[in-house]
Amino acid sequence: MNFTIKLALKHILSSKIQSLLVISAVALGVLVIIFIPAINDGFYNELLDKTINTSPHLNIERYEDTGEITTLKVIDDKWFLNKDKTTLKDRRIQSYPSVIKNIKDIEGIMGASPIVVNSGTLINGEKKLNVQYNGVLYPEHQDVVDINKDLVIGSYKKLNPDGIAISRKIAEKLRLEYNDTVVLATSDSSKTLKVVALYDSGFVSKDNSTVYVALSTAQNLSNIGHQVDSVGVKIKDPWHIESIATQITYATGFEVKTWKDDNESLLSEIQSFTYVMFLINLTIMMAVAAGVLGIMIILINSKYKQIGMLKALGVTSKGVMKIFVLEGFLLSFFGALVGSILATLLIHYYNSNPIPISENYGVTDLKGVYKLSIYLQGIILAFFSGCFAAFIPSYFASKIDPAEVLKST
Amino acid sequence: MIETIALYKDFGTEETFITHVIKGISVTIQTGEFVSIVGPSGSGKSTFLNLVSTLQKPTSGQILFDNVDITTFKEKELAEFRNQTIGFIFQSHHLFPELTALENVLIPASIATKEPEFTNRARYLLQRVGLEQRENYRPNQLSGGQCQRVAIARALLLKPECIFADEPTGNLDQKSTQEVFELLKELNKELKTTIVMVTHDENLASQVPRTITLIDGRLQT
Repeated sequence: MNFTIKLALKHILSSKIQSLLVISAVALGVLVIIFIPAINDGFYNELLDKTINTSPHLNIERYEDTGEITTLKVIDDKWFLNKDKTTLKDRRIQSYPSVIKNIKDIEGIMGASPIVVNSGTLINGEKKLNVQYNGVLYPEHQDVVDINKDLVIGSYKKLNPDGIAISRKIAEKLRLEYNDTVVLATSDSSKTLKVVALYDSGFVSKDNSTVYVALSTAQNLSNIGHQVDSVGVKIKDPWHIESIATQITYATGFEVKTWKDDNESLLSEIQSFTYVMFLINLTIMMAVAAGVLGIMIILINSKYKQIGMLKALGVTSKGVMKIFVLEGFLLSFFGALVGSILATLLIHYYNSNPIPISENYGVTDLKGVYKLSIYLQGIILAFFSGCFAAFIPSYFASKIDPAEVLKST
Repeated sequence: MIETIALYKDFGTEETFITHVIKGISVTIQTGEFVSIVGPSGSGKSTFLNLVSTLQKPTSGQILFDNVDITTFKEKELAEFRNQTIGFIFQSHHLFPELTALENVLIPASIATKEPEFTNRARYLLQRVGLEQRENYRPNQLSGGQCQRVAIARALLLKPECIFADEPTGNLDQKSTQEVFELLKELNKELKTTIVMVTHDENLASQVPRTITLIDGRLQT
């Protein structure tokens, strides 16, 4: 075995307490910097998963004007301000089948379905509730959003022009049950519908206000003929949605709003939090490095005479440094290994006994993830801090004068 | 052959205070000689030994080792010189507590990455210093005299041309002192290794064929 490795290992084994202290410090640091991001990532992963999969990945809409357009007109040499209001009608898609036909050949599209969205009031006797009704085609909408996974009772197959699917929360508020009838009223008209399905998405905002009706029912209630508000699209890889969005805009001439556009603040928050998390991890590892540095200084100081002897026996300053940096490296390696194993066990224990959290975001259990990048980040930070902590005292130790340290008895 | 020419060594700086410790020593030590360096405390014995053994650099002057000026050596050359050409024995044995007697003897070979080819010689040397039964003992399981004998075996492992010994019996009792000294004499005779030994023990010095006396950093003629 190489002398440097052999002596480093001998030092580690002979200074058991110091070695255990270094390994424990590094292990503790690695445990924290793996466990916390694992829980954090678990939360955000589930949150994003729910966010991505509870609505279409992208919506094709007609260009939305900002509202009033003011222009100047000259009539009989006089200037007039002309205010042109863009109506809702103008912003709807007139022929959704042609839109779907135009995009069907774009690679990566899994499904497309028209949607009408409007607001109305659900009335059950004395009880009233303002809701957002989504007019959808079934089973086409199932190809865009997996609504069946949230189904509690009934079937979306029964979502005919006289049917309505409501959330369990809305049912509770209006004292409705499966197969009951309810009136959905809008400013233009109203219709009595039968509750054909109850769902529970876990998203409080959605469960409190969203109902599903047949596309034709929504069109009639909104008095918009055969127009629709948007065409919802599901794509294969929602994380790389931009190029498909561009292709769709090019193919249809309509505006495309992706789930990323709708959740810009959430994504930005996650990015900021990930950055903050990295800084916290760095700080933790700096604290660990300070601890390791203290122990390594004690360890190396106790070896000054040995360093002197090594130099007298023909080891260069660089060779002396190698021995002690290798010690720091090996101790950090064992620390990182122990820390990673402990973190894995802790995540496993935590996932077996998850802490229930508020359902506001649709995430009910806070679970940790086993992610390679998190482990690598922890291990690399541990390595650097351990080696750095060993490097400083090793550097000074390598500069000692052998005659000076060997003269004393 | 070791030859020093007008060797000077100062400590301190002009801003503080300069101490002239070695004041122009010129001396020649022939190959195979056993030389003791004696002198009163503070006469510069150990400093002189540190200079000729390359542990310290002289302020001025030359040290020729087989006609090569070793004061011009860079760190890598120095390390190789210390490893291959010379050996050290100090007042304290400076054995590595983590290693066994055999491993301690093998350190110079390990540094030179020649451990396998010198294992038999290390065992022979341990036998030669009377410790063949103790090769797997650690320093804390050996007596002071035994540790010093391991240190002698370590110094001899790579067949150095010269051994520098700084008060090698300073920490030993009278019996061990005589044993270690006899061993050094035998090895000098048997292996023809040059030995330069600093001692304040007049009895030992009187038993060495040649004695160099230093007084106030100068050779006493």
